[in-house]
Amino acid sequence: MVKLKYIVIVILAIVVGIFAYNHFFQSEESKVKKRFDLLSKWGSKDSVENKLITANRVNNIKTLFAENCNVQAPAYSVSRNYKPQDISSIALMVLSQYIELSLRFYDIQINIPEKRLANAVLTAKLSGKLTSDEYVNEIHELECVLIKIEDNWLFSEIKIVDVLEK
Amino acid sequence: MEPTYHNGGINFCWRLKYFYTKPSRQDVVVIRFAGKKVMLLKRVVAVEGETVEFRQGKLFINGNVIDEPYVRFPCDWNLLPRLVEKNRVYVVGDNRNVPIEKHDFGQVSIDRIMGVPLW
Repeated sequence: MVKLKYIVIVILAIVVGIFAYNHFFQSEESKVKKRFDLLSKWGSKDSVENKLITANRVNNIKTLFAENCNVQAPAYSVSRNYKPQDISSIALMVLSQYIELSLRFYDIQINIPEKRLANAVLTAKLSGKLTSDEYVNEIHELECVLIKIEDNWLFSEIKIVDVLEK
Repeated sequence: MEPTYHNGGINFCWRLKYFYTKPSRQDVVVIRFAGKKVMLLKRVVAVEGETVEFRQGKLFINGNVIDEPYVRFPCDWNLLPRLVEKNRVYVVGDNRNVPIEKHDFGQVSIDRIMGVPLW
């Protein structure tokens, strides 16, 4: 009986140790990936979501961006530098046009050439239903640059890659 | 790629198809984005050095009208002539029943072509 007690304690200690290790010693790649998870979470919208939750999401989104975020999207004529507040305003405008919206990221490849600089290449899929009942399904390849400021990775460049050039 | 392939369907990609050859006109190809999780299915309508143009929904290659039996729905697309650059092909979907602005098509690097659907 005593032996069993020790075995349970050891197993618990191992589980807690693994959890603590993952929590406190996350790799920089995992931290960068987590920023994309948050952007996906806060950039999406449920059909039954109330306006307060949407406002909270929009407010959170700006915390993911650097003081100046350069967006390059030649095909959409939105290329310029954006402040976090601009990003929030745009996010609010976009989310209010959708009944439901899903923003997902796939195949995220992260390269950290310098201590406080990360490059990420990924596929972004945006799908949803507009308030006009029209369905939207957009897929783009993105090249992002994130900079580390006070232990937070922030988006400082986002470029839409033209996979298909008309 | 409706009606040839349905949205959300499951297809397998034959990756050895372009091991020794290059994509040619009318091939349906699998195009990758940043990785292998999200792919596009499109049809090659022109290869490098050719000029692509749409006039009232008709496809013109190097100024000659091309018969496209795989296009079931007529369209009124107009696109000024453009040259396909080196190591690129011009791809268009079979579903032309949408406005030209909402259809994903254009020149793509052959490095992005993963293969062809198996069936």
